[in-house]
Amino acid sequence: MSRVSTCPGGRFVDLVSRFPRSLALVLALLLAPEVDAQTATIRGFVRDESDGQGLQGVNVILSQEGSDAFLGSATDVDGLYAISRVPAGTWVLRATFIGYEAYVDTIALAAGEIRTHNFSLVPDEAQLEEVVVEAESETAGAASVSAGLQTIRPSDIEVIPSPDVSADLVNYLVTLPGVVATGDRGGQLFVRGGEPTQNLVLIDGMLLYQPFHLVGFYSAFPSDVIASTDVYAGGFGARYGGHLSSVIDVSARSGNKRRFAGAVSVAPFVSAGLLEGPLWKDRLSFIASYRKSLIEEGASKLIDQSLPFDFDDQFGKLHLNLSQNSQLSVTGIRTFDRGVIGTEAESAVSDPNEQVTWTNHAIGGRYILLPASLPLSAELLVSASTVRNTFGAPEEPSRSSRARQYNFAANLTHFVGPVNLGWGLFLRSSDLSSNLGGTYQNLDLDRDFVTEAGFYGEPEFRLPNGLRIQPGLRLDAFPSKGRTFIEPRLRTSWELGRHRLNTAWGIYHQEVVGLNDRRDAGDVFTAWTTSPLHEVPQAIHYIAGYNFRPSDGLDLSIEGFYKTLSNLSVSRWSAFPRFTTELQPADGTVIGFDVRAELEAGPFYGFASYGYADVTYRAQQEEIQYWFGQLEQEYSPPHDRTHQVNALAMLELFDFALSVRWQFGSGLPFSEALGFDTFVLLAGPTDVLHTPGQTRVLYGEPYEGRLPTYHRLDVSLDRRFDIGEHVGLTAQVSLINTYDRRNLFYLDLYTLRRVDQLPLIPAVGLKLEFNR
Amino acid sequence: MRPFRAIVLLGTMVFLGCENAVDPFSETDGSTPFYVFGYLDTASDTQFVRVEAIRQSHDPDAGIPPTSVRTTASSTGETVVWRDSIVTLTDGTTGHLFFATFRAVAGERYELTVERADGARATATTDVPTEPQTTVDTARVVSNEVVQTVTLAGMSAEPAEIALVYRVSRGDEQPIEIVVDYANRAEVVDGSLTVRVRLSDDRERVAQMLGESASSPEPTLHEVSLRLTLLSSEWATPEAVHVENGRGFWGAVGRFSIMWQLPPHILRRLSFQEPAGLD
Repeated sequence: MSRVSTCPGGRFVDLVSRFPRSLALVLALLLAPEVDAQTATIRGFVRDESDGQGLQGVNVILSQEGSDAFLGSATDVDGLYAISRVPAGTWVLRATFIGYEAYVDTIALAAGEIRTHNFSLVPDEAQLEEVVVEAESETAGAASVSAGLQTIRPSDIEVIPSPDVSADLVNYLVTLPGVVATGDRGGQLFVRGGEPTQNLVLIDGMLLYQPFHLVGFYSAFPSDVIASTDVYAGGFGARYGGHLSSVIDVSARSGNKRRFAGAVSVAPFVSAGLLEGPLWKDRLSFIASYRKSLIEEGASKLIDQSLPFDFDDQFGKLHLNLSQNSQLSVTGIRTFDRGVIGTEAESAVSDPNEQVTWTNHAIGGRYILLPASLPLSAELLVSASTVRNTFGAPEEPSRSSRARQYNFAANLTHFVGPVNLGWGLFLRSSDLSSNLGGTYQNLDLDRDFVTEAGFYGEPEFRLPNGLRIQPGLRLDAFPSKGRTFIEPRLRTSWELGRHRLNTAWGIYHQEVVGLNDRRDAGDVFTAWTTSPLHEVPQAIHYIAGYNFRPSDGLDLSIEGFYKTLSNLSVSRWSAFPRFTTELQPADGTVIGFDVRAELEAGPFYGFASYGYADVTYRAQQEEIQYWFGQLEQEYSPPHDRTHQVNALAMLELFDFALSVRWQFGSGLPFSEALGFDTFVLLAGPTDVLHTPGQTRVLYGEPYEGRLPTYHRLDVSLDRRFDIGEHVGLTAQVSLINTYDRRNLFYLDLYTLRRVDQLPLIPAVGLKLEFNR
Repeated sequence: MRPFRAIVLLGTMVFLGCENAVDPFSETDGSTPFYVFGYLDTASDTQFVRVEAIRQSHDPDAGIPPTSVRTTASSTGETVVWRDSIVTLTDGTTGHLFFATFRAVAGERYELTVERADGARATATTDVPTEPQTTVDTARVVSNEVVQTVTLAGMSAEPAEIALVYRVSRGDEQPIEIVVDYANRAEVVDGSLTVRVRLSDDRERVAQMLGESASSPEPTLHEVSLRLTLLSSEWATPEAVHVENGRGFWGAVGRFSIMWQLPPHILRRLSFQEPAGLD
């Protein structure tokens, strides 16, 4: 999304100077956007001269000789900029971006003209001109969170140590203070108290249901294919919906349009390959990526422990510059995971009856159009996404679930001076089927079809005093369910020199939900269904944050959040043997705050964050009183990590890059056991003399206990060797869990087995890159 | 938790909290010593209950076994000490069974007490269902069908079993009982259970069961009875905890039978012979 910048020392060009008049004028302009025929609009795509891909965060500024006033915009993830309400005349267009030569051109704009002006920036490694990159400084960087929003760049991801020379988005996500992971296996991310299935994960606008691989270091998103990722830990705007907790919106690179390039890497956890290049120079490009886990063959042997995990992912994208004004891309992705989560490290074999698998497929097209006669950009998305999840023996799983979504969306942005008027339409159809094998006794899931249609409006007002207001309204209708939701949203940001205040508020609903039996951490099977207890889950988010930049290179931020959750479906905690239960309704609250600091000084880069959260669920069901003596049971769910610390330090010296990351988490809740008995199910008068029973674990009150604290130190050392002009080799040595902390993954109360996370893993990785 | 406390706690945990052992059990003081499974039965002269120690291992013999089981009747104060035995269950495993020879009294409250040598004790209480007050209306003919209404007052819940029992015989044969399930033909309204006995319909069932044909002699109907099984309140939530300081289930079953005879003209209309001595 384009933004209007206000550079230090500059004066925002506007027709009014005072806020009320400005607001009135903005509203008037919105109501009659075509009235002003005395001004012009200039927009276009800014690309990297070296590879033809769009450049995000480029400042594009129009100025006139003899005036210190200017108009400006910053490019979005597609490289799109737009400046409207430009008075007719001759302007100097100047575009700047760190690491690139400045682009300067003289543009004569006639009254009423809508000009598309595309251009490229030439890389210049030696040129580090002082420029303001507003779009990047606002939400990019470890401490630059803005009301829950943080933009993650590939360069951010690559500094995080991992057991693989190829970086992955999830390794950065788990450093965010509000994100709780289940550890190094499971593929479950909880964002600010929300469930993993409450996260909306998109790549190029396509939904991915379960994008995180079984092994916690990997997701469907290797950094090599990512252009940029927006992560909303909450408070997201009206463009996004259908999920309660967070948004992870990944934009994939479009591939090199000038030359072929690629990389091949090998490490004990994963081997990977990537190829990109032009199919039609400067017009049509492709990028393809393939990764395959080597855990069973590599890492397992390396540490002489059973690691029954297998995964792979494939990604491909075609990107076509159709014309000066339009682009078309087609993206496809597939992921596969298979493993047994609860295998003890010492165990030689894993139980195939506890095997979980999931497979994601998604394919979609994205069309971007800048209409010749209108000052707007339009984005059309068409996609299909599927996930299939099984639990049990491969040939005959005891539980299975499949979800499929067909999606059509149109997103438009009108550029009206200091207002970007965003609005859109969407139409979705979901096909959900499950065979739960009796897991949830009060659910009779088979197959369900849901159609969803809606509209959103989201104007962004940029006021002269640094205040930015983005109210939004989303209308989401489910005709087959007879339900319509109206969800107001609000995001604000107020720039005050080196200080910035941010707030966000919104109401969210989630009709299609994922069900997990959280009584067992080793069970990551997810069943997708419509709201199972007939009341649609709802969340209300409140976020307030403060950012401070005391000096260049140092960023500090603090952000508080509060969420109310209602109509959740949680597993009923009862005396019956595990894996069968009923669902019961629950409400909840989440309160917490994050503190972040980021420092960049010469060859040193580092950040530290602390997150505090208190997640409370309240479940009400008649049966609860029979067990716990009260009608309502209040408890901390198993992802309630109260304290979390992340620290990263990176030093670049003599072509070496040394990264050290330490993470700490306080213990997660778990339900303690009273002991074991031999349980007899009584459906009526039963033969006491002869009826056998079943060994049962007797649970105490839910989640009253706390597992031990979690902490781990990871270290990596990288060195790049240039082999000729077009080939480079990166070698990496890494130590995961450097001091061999015995972190508990989960405790199986039924078997009294303790399953630990990965021990110390030394790894060597090699990555060969080329471009011609 | 307040932020300041949180920060202090965090610091403590970072520098001191390196312990990674975990105890999966919330109680080590034995305050939940026993699992109980059993019920009193008004139709049985011997009562049974299985009791086992709750243990911190899968081994069923790992816990400390109970040494004493007794029941006390609330209204009389009479205490019965139960005897223990080991029984083999249908799956080949063994169970620790306690039994006592007495007949549970309808309407009585019984307390079960289980103790072991170290003084650990679990108790459970159950009220044996009361026999309902029964009113049997006169059989009558409605729309050419013979029906009869039986009303049971003082019912707190649906019966677990309700059936009509026809005691019939053919010629000089011994009488047999033909049972017709009435589980779906009655419901409790305002504490009263009204059973509409469809004698004509049931007569066809009796004929089927006896294999009657057109040439068969009419069987003799000696009597009709309503068989009723009532459960104590614990059965409404069998998965709940009904044992204080323990787990499991302890309840009661009341089994009742209300018998009556049909008048001669009704018997004739139903093609039954009158039993000897019926006037």
